[in-house]
This record gives sequence, structure tokens and C-alpha cells, in this order.
Amino acid sequence: MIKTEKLCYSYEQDTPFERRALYDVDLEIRDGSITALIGHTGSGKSTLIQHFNGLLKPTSGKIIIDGDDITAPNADLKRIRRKVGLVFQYPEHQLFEETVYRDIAFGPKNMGLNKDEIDERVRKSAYLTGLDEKYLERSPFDLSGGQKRRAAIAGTLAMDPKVLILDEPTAGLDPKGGKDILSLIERLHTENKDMIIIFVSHSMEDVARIADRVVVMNEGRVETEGTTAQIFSNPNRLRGIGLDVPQVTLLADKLRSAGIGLPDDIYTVESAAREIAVRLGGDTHA
Amino acid sequence: MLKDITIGKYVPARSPLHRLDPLVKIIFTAFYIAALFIINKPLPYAVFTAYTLIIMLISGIPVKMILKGARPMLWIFIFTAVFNVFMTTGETLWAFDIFSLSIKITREGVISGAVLTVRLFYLVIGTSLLTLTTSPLDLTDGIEKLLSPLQKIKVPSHEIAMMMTIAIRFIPTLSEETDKIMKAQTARGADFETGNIIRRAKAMLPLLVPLFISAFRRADDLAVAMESRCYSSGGKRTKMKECRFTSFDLRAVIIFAAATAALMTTQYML
Amino acid sequence: MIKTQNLSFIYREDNGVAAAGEEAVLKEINLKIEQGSFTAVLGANGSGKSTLAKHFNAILLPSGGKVYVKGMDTSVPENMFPIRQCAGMVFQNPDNQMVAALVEDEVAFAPENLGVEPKEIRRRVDECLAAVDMTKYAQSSPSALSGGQKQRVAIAAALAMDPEILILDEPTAMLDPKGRKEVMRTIKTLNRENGITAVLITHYMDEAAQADRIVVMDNGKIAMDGKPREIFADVEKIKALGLDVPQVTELAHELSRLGIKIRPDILNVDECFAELTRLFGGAAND
Repeated sequence: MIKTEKLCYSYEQDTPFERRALYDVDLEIRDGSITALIGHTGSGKSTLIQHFNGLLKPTSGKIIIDGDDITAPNADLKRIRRKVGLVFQYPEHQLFEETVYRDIAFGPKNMGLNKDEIDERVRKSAYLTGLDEKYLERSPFDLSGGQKRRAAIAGTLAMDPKVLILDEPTAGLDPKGGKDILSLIERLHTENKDMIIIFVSHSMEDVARIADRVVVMNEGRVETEGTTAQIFSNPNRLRGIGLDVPQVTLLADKLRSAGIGLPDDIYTVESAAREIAVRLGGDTHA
Repeated sequence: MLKDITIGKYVPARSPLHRLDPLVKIIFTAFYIAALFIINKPLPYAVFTAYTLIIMLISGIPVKMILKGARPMLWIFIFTAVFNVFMTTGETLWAFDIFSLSIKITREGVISGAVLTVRLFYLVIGTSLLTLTTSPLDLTDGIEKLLSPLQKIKVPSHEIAMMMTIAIRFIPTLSEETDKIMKAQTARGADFETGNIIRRAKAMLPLLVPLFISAFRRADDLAVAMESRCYSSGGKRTKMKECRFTSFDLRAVIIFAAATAALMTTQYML
Repeated sequence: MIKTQNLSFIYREDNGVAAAGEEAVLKEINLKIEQGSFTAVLGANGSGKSTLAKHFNAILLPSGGKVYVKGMDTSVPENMFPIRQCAGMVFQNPDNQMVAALVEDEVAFAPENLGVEPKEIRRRVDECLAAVDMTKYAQSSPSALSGGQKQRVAIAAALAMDPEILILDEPTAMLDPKGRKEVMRTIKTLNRENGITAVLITHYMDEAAQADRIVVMDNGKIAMDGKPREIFADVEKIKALGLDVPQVTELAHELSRLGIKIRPDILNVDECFAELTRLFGGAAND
């Protein structure tokens, strides 16, 4: 479990350029959840996730992961970074090795694992990310955009983290590439029930598709949080702070206002189709 | 740390320093640096410091920001100072033995250490002030004008100037990028902070590949974007803001010349 | 405005014959872009859409066939500058296309390259910044702007050449939803009010839905070409091409699969709402 207590952070603290990025963030993220972090550019999402593996240190407040205070002065950052894997935006821009295999092996090697263990980890991560073994001996630069991104994610998975954080994992990919990454996240979730997966996204459709919980950030604070159904049941609140909602959520909200009785937890095309079809006398068993 | 580098950053403002003809500013900077290496007495240094302060104050840029530009160079300053303090021979101020090494700190060492550090510091401040107050395109203009006499002997002055401008324009972008890649690799267990120099240098190698690839990709993008807007190296360009030598520049040159003369007087006459 | 005739392109070639192991990126493309139209080009990564766009302003020259911009053959060297002046281009990464350190200098760059008189440059800079609603930021440094603002400056910078066509190569791919909306609004205004012919390459289906025409590329060929309504109505084909349709279009498709008689060519939430209230109204009257 990840818990933050009154987490605050300022960039360039004690200089005239000081900018506060996080204000009193109190959060609890439970094991086995897929949590989406949404909010505007500059709302503090990226700053927050960099705290979870000690890349940024809070100005004040605490972060506790599985009972471990990672903000304590004597915290073992190396161990924390093994436990909390962070995949940055456009991670494929950071590939550097001659082969995909060696790139994925970078993390395990830094952990000091032996050759066999490294090999096992590399192959397992490649399998988990759906990278065919034949790509392992290729240069990462010969892969397609979507494959490169999967290779980069495999590099983090090879550290065998308990928490996986992804910053805009589908940004810049074409629709199919994006969907492949989402399916990959869902598969990781089914294969490892305890893993905490946190992802930052601007795409409400992506959030609606895979997240079970949503944290909404606004101007450095947690605006609201809850299950995906709860968050999307109030589209006006999200729109009030300038965020989008999935098209079907907006549609369902409009239909409800027009007096058509629909449940308020519609946020995927499938659920919308089912609920509307039932009320229109369609054949929902088709 | 890398993000603190102010060389190459431009801060738009409406100060007299911003208004100055870039060619004049480049020449001023050259004189500033030359003067810095000529003077070697306390009084000229005091005058020089006063000049620098005045320039900083009229630059329209927060003094703290200018000073911050020197921070990444801190280790170089310290290294220079220490190296000089211990390695210069002369009148002994203090001597002691560590193991079998006898170490002497000399008067001359302390002075030359201090002088060199101060020179380095002002060198960074002076060049930062130039780039902080001159937009890269103006800087290109200035360099181009400076080199234009060489055009007669077929030196491609415009191309050289454009190259320098783009290089400067990309420094902040690439240092941000380095920061990002470092963070990403730190997250994967890379260690840039502990271990001896060789280990740290080795840890840096994986940084260079993505950094270079990114630099090439950006350069390629920029080249296509410039070509799309009809840029060609041989083309005849016009300027929206024609930099003309104005009466304002003339006054600045006179003030600067007088100031330089005063400084040299304190160095040689007093 | 733009016409391609059997346009083919191979990156590494020798007299129109592909080098070993090299496949043509564009294969015999015949396309006509009408004056004043707004065309969206869709396609998965690697389908050839960016390569096609780069032919429209003579950045790339055909390996086979011809491209004419306003009747000018792009392969004739003398036509290069008139073509580039006539077809302005905006790229994906806002940071990589900026030359200047001041917004107004950035906009002045192109007319300066064209040797326009200083007074006229000033007039154009002011006019173009106003056209993208960025006058307020004329004296700012581009690095201080948001992604959407940077792209609007990039649009103004292309407009300053006084072009008739604007080619936008995934201008919103790296932006957040707010930036995307700003850029889309700007493109639509320029197209409708200033009569600029717009060609927009995008991965976002909701953006493509706003164009008058969609061209879908697949593996170097034109796979589909028509009005957004016609294109998106064929949900199966679009998905097979690795693309997506707007959520409400998919909803209509799902509903008709469930036996509801709903229009298949729904493009946006309002249309879907109108259609569903009609159906619900009918159901209530039964």
C-alpha cells in the first residue's frame, strides 16, 4: 500500500523562483489496484509520481510504502527504486543499448543479479510485454514505435517491482499501439494480483477502460478521488475544472437530464450500449 | 543542477542592456574579459566589481538568477582555488606534515588562488549577461556583423553565426533532456552519485547515447522546419528589426570607453 | 490546390528502384485536395501519412509520379521556394521547430527568409499573431508558453509566408486536451474564415470527425477516402486498419448490433443525443 501524509513539494525551494507544486496531498493507494491519475498539465501529477520512488523528496510530509517511510533520512533509496518501477513519458527515447536484451537487462544488472537470474528476468519481462523473443537480439532502434515502448516498459518490469507507475503510457501512439499498451497493463494486473499500477493519462477513454480507481489532481491538490464509476458519475465536476469526460458519459448525463432513466455509472461503450438497448427493447443477448 | 546553467538562456526584458546593438554588446563582452585578465591589483578589482554590479543592476534580470548561473561551476572554482593554494611556491604562511608529505601554504598561492577564482567567476557572469540579455537571433546578427569583414576571404559568416545560435538555443533543451534521462536511469538503479571517478564516468556512458540520438532527432526536425519556412543558407534575408547603430549605442560606447579608461588608470597609474 | 499523380516514394532508391530490403513508403497515390477544403489524413504509424505530407511542400520529392501544388511541379527546382511559400507546414514537436527566442521573431523568421520588406514583415507578424489569438504573447519567450500556445505560434509562423495551404503533421500529438482544443479551434477558424486550405494529419478520431473529408492511409496506399460520416460508419473496416472511431459512433454501431434501428453515421455527442431522444420518444409513444 502507498500512503502519503500531508505531502508538499516546491520546486527551487528558497529561491525567488520557488513554485509550489503539491499542497497537502493525502492519498491511499491499495494493493492490487489500477489507479489513474488525471488532471491538467501542471496540476502536479508528474511531480507526485516522482515522489513515489524517491526521485523527488517532499518539502514536508511523508510517503509510506508497505509500512516503510521512504522519506525518512536513512531510507534505502536503492531498495525503494527496485520496489517502485517508474516508466517516464516517451520512455523509448531513453533506450540506449545495442540490443533490446541488453537494454532490458540494465536494471537487473544494476541490482547485481547473476547472469542466469538476469536472463530469466529479461525473458519474463519480454513475455509479459508481448515482445517476441526474436526482437531481443535486435537493436532497439529497429523496432516500431509501439514495440519500442513495450521494450522500455519491459526494462522497468525486469526490476520486478511491486508498484508500477507509468506516465502517459499511450501518448503519441496510434490507436492500435495505444490499445496494445492498455491490454498489456490489464494483463500485468491479472498476472500479478498484488501489484499496484498507477498511470497518468489525459485520455478519459483510457482511464474508463482500465482504471478501477481515479485520483483527480487540480492545482497541486487532490481534487477528488474514488472508483472510476464514482468519478465519472459526476461529469460536471470534472468539466468544471476543465477536464474531459468520455463521450458516452457525457451522452448518458444528457439523456438523464432529458428524463431518460439511466444508471449513473456509464463510462464505457459496452455499458452504455447495454443499458440503452435494454431500455429500447433491443436484444441484449445478441 | 544541469537545469541551473544560465549560459544560453535568454530572458526577455526592456532594459538598456537588452536595447544595445548586439555587435556592440559582443565587443563590450570581449573588452570586459580582456580587462579582467589585465588587472591584478586590489583597487582595479574593486572598481571592476562595482562595474559588474552596475551592469547586473541595469540588466533587468534578477541578480540571484545571474549568480545562480555560476553555481554549476562551483566545483571548478574550488578546484582552481585549492590547486593554486597548494601548488604555488613562495613565502610560507603555514606548513604542516600529513604522513610523509610536507605541505606548505604560501602567500603567493593564496593570492593566485583567489585571483584565478575571481577571474573565472566574472568570466561566467560576463558571458551569462551577454546571452541573458541578447536573443539568440540578435546574437547571430552580432556575430555575423563581427565576421562580415571575413566574408571577402570567403568565410561563410552567416552560416557560422547561425550554427552558433542554434547550438546556444539547444543548450537549455538538451540539459533538460539530460536531467530527464538521468532520472529515468536512476529509477532503473543506475547510480550517478557514489563511487570513484571512473565508476561515475562509466555510469554516464548510457546517458550519452539517448542524449546524442535526441540531439540529432531535434536537429533534423529543426532543419526540416526551417526549410519549410524557406530558409536557405545562400538566400537574401531581410530583418524585421533592423539593428542600426543608434545614438543610444553611441552614448553607451562613450560611457564604456570612459569606464575602461578609468579602470586602466587605477591599474597603471595609482 | 494539390494533386498527386501515381506518387511513389522509396527512402533508399536507385533510379526509382528500391534498394535491397527496402519497401516503398508510398505506392502510386492519386489524390486531389480542393481549394478551401479541410482534409484529415488518418493512418496507423508507418502507413506513410507523414511522408505524404512532406511531399506537399517539396521537402521530399517523389521517387515516381508527380506532385503539383497550385499547378507547380514539385520536382522542378525553381518551384521549390514558391511551393514552400504557398504550402506552410506545422510539425508535431513544438520545441523542435522553434528557431527564435521571442514569439514575434519566430513569426518573422519566414518572411525574413523570403526577403520581405521590414515594414511588411511587421504588419504580417501582427496580423498572424492576431489570427491565432497570440498577440498578447508577442514579446514572450516560446519556452514560457504552454504546448497549445507554442503550436499556435508555429501556425502563425507558417501563416506569415502568406500561404494558401496549411499542412499540419500531427500538431496535437504532444498536447494535453486543452491544447488540442485550442489548436483545433485555430485550424477551423483559419479554414472557414480565412479560406485557408487545411490538411491535418492526426491520430485523434474526434479531430478527424471535424474535417470535411477523411483520407485513410494504409501501408502506403489510400485505403478509404470520403466524408467523415461515410468513413466512420464502416466501424469494422476502420478497426481493421488499426484505427478507431469516435465513442458515440461505436455506440451507435453496438446498438444496431443489438437490434436497435439507429442511424449508423453518428459523429458527435449532440447527434447521438438527438437520435436517441427520438428513439426513446418513439418508444414512449408505443
